[in-house]
Amino acid sequence: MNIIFNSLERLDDDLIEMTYEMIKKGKKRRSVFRAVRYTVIIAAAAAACLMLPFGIQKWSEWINLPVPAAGPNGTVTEAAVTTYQTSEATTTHADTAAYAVPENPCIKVFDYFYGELPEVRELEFSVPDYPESKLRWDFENITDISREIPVTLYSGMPIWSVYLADITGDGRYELCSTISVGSGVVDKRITVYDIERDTLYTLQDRGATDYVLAEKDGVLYVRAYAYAAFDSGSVEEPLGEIPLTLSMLTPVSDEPANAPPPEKIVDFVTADAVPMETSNEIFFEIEQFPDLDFKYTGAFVGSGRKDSYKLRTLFDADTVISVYLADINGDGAHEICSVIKNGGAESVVAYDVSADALSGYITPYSHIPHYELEIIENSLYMKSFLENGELFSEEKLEMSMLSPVTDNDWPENDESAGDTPENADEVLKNTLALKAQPALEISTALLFGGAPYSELIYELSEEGNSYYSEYAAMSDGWYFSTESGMRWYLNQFFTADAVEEYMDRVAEGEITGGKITRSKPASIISVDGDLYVLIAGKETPMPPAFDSAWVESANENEITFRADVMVEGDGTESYYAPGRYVYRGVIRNEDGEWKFAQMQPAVNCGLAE
Amino acid sequence: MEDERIVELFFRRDEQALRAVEKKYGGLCFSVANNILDDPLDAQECVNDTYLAAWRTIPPQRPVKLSAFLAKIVRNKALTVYERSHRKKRGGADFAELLSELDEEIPSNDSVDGFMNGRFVSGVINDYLHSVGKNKAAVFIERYFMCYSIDEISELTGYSYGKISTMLHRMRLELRQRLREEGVDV
Repeated sequence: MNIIFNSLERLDDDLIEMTYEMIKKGKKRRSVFRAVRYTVIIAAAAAACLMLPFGIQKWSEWINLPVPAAGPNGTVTEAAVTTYQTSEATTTHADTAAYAVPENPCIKVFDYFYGELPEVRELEFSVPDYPESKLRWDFENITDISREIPVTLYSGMPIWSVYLADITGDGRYELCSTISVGSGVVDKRITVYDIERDTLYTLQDRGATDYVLAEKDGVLYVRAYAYAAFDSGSVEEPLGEIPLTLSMLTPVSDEPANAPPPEKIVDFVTADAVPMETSNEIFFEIEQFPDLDFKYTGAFVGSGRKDSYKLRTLFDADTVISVYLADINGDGAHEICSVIKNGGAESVVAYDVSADALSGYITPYSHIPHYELEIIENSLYMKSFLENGELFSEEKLEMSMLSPVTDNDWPENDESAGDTPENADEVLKNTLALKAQPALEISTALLFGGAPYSELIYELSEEGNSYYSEYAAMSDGWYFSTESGMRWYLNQFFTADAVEEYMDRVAEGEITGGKITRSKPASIISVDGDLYVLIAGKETPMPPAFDSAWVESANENEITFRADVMVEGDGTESYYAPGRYVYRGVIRNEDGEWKFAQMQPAVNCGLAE
Repeated sequence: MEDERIVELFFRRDEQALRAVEKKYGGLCFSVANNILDDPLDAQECVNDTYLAAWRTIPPQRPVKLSAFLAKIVRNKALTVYERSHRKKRGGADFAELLSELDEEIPSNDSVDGFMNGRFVSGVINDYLHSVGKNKAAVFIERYFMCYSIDEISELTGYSYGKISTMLHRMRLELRQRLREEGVDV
């Protein structure tokens, strides 16, 4: 027998155990492997992306959490629910599990998420701890019908499930549901209603992750899936699952007592007026910041000290459609909330003056062409509308819905970055100059464009191939280069294996860095050794070409990159006018596969020269 | 069930220990045995022998890493069966291919084998595997300790067949170089 083979008899135990653990993880290993590189290379940028909703652990901690093993204690009894047969579960749970099984095991009232919805979408049930209770599910609402005047406790589009579980630890059941928002296009999230305290909680990661409840061994779990993965019909395994606990949830409370009421400064949608010219100006104040003046023009919101003529740009756009003041993060101070329009795409942004930071919400997949803000019952609501004008979703605006906007998208927060309002062009120029500095050049994730080899495209494209093949004849500008100046022409890279080889050499330090080069209508990104076609323009109103792109952040679940996009031609085939735009794209790891997930216009990008 | 608890059951001579081992590590043991023997019946027999061996050796032994402890036993059991059946011209074709891979770049050398008694070489291999990073090490161990086929490793890892072949080829060359640097005549 071979000497190496025999010597492995004395292989270190920790190596064997490590391998065994990795086998159990299966294909997850691959993404983690690559993610390590990304994380090392762009650790700084990654930090921003690793921000997760309050109280939630990182994905890496979700995966492979210990599942309670079978044990001698606790049996979930058959349905302590009066009018509906429930849980098929007669399950046991562990006494030694990492997560203690609650004293009152979870009860499933119904869960249609993974199955077919019934024809009659209505049922009534009560909660064991509250014998007088009588609740009704009518597909979209949970209503307390035991009260003289029925009260809707919470809603969804639809409510997929109701579980009874003691999440707050008070020994009494809460109502726990998986709900969809925007028929699932916004996201799927968890809602928990604490009957005892009349308090609603939520677990959501809007537009990024879907959360779904599931019961196992008397424990209520939350499973996380890549956003919209269900809609693509490709979901098999969740990204991770973990017992649902109170610490993951965020209370959905009424406005805090000290919250200042929302205020409308200007809104050209609801006023049914044409957006004002840039030369028109509105000055306004925010009560909590008495030393500051704020100024709005049709394309700009800025602020400055009252004792100074200088103004800083807080945010700008092709058009700032509306400006509202509302406390959307519960800090007792107003934030400036606006609908803005850039290159035809609308977004909602909020500037937190206290933190001097901006957040923006940008349409996933560009399905939402139009937003409005509106004050309803002392709260600011965000409405989104479909192309045909139909109301798509209506939600109370909260800061947690918005993604942080990185510094790269915005002028530096110092006086010099701003300018007098008369010199708005200069402000824009400064902004664009900052944007021109790449956050970080892609190194292991190589992006390069053009598509001279139809076979390659056919082989690599995840979607229909006919669209890509029309670019088969375009062969100019096909190369990617390294920082050392070595230029690799694409004809050296016919296959994914060759690119893997290149990436290995990058990883091993033989080649440092990499650079993205000009692309033609289709772009190809190599992630984790696989190539994917990034393309837009036909099916979605996206510009069809990338000039360049840089990784902004990356973790084991997704890579966010910024891309400069040049739209050529007369714009008739595109939603966009000719010009250069800045986009943010996401490549997401779905079910062990890296896939191009979504591309969004970066807030405040505007047209470049 | 945690490993410590399973070992505790062994110490109490509680047969629940065997059921727990079967449940937790049965798949691992069977895979290793079947990867070598390519015969489910023989493999299952090895697995049963492994449980018996564990029953006999715990106590006095108290393994810290039960998975590694069992994997080593079942590997040895399967190799014994393999050698016996190989003499009868039977045995897994994949496993023979695995050995030929190793022989190709790091051929067996009786003098080394005898002289070093394998211990020194084991130390070099362990050091090498600790130095190459988890993923590479895992692929190596999956191939040459657990005896998975390259196709199976590809399935386990998501790497392409070509990538794994290349990775293993490089590792064998690096390991040979490392052994030579340490004065092992391979």
